[in-house]
Amino acid sequence: MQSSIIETRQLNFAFQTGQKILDDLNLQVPGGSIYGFLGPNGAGKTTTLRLLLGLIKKQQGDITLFGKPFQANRIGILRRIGSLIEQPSLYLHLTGKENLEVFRITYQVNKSRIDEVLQLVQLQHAANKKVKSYSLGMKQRLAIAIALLHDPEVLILDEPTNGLDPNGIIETRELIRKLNREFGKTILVSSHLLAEVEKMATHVAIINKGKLLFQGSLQQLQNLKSKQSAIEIEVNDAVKAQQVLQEQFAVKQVNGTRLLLNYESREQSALLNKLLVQQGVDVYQLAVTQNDLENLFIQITAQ
Amino acid sequence: MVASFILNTKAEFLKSRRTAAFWLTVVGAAFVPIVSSIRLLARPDHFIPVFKKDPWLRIINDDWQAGSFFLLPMFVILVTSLVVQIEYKNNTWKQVYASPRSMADIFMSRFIVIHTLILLAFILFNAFIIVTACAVNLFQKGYYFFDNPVPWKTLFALTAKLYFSVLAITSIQYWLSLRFRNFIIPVGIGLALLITGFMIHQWEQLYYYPYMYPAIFFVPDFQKKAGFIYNAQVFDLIWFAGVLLIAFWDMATRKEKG
Repeated sequence: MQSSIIETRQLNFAFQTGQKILDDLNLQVPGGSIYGFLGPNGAGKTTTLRLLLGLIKKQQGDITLFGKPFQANRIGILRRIGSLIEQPSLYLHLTGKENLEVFRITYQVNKSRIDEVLQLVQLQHAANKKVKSYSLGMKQRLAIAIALLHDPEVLILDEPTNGLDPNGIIETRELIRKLNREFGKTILVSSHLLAEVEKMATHVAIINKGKLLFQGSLQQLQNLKSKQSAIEIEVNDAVKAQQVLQEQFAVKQVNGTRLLLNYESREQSALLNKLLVQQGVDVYQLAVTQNDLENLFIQITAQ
Repeated sequence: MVASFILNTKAEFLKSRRTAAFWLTVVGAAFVPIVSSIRLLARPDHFIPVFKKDPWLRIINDDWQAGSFFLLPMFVILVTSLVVQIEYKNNTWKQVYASPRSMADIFMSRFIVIHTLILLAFILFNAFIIVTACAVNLFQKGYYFFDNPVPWKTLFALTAKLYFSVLAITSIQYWLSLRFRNFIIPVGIGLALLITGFMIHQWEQLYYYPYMYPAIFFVPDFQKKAGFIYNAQVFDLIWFAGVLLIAFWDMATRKEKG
């Protein structure tokens, strides 16, 4: 793994009204990673990615790509990046192949590359159809094909699975992983779904209201999550259950017939169950509470 | 640098394939010559004597008269907006700006496409005049088109003059089209400025007014006033270059692109 390929330092951005969109954002995208850029809608993800591509004028802070400041090296840097920002931008009146041809001319790559990328995103069958007739999933894949045309080192993908059906989501995710593993691309991919990012990313950054809440490897995120996770047990007699468990475990909360404890490990879950059953408490349900993005935010910000 | 600019211009041409801008150019150019030839076919008794002397000059003049004041500037207004709309409509500006292309390249390659379409419209318009006149002569043997040579030189000079007359309008409309995402705004402003021109056509300093240059260069009345045409030519160039520079500066310094 190389050092950071994309880096922002104290990136700030505000609307003319003074509303802050990005607040001291320091991102470090390691080379060779799939960097999941996670945050709810309106957190500033798209703004950040647009700043990285020079689509919005930078106000404050530094942006470096491949170790060079963006502004002074715009064209050279853009040559090494493939991007997909928000909805796919395609020429609907042209065929898939013609769309690729438009960008192939700009990037000055070999004609054979068109068939290669079409195959990579599995759109050969629709290459000569007008993009107007494509489904959203096909458009998204064609947009990724365009981003891949010039074989860039870095891909910047803004919510590439947004609006896709489950099948499309899986296909896109598989493609992203393949591009990373087999072709060694560094991929910066934004999403508002934690589960989505966990399934493909090697590194994660979490942003909310323009502030970076977390940045690290997926493992670090999972450690953080498990530290924050709770185990919920539903029993027939909560009072008795609490008495049984209290000697060995800290019961955080009792809520009707449900008890809440800190999650430690799988072994602990089994032990809890065993103890309760041995003492004659009926266990209806025992589950680790799922940590969605919202909970994760609350936990991280509460730290 | 130059090579990539030429390639990118080629890519811009590819984008205009099968677009409304392209079809407007073809259909727009055919409109006046076809209507004019139907007229000749419908009333040969009236028009054969009228077209006896210099039939080509007569038909060229008639058709261009119908096309030059209003339809030509209107075509320029529409085609400029339609070419720029290709990017707005498809939401593709961001992809254009995220490509490794300089601002000057993005700006000029599209402007070249617009001018090429305008030149194509001129060529097609003239071709349609000749073809439709020949067709008329085939159906109505009484006409004299076949007996006279086509005055190519006059035709070329007239075309060059009219192309020159729309230069200022192209840069103003290009700027407006880049500035506004909504297609109606640049077209509406252009149309309003054109109509205003007709309303103030008696103004002595009309040579300041870019939307009237096609009329000024075409109508003999204006040519009678001393220095009028010369002033119009100078201001046409000033508007053309000045607004083009402003438009480029405006695009290059815009805070949000695409």
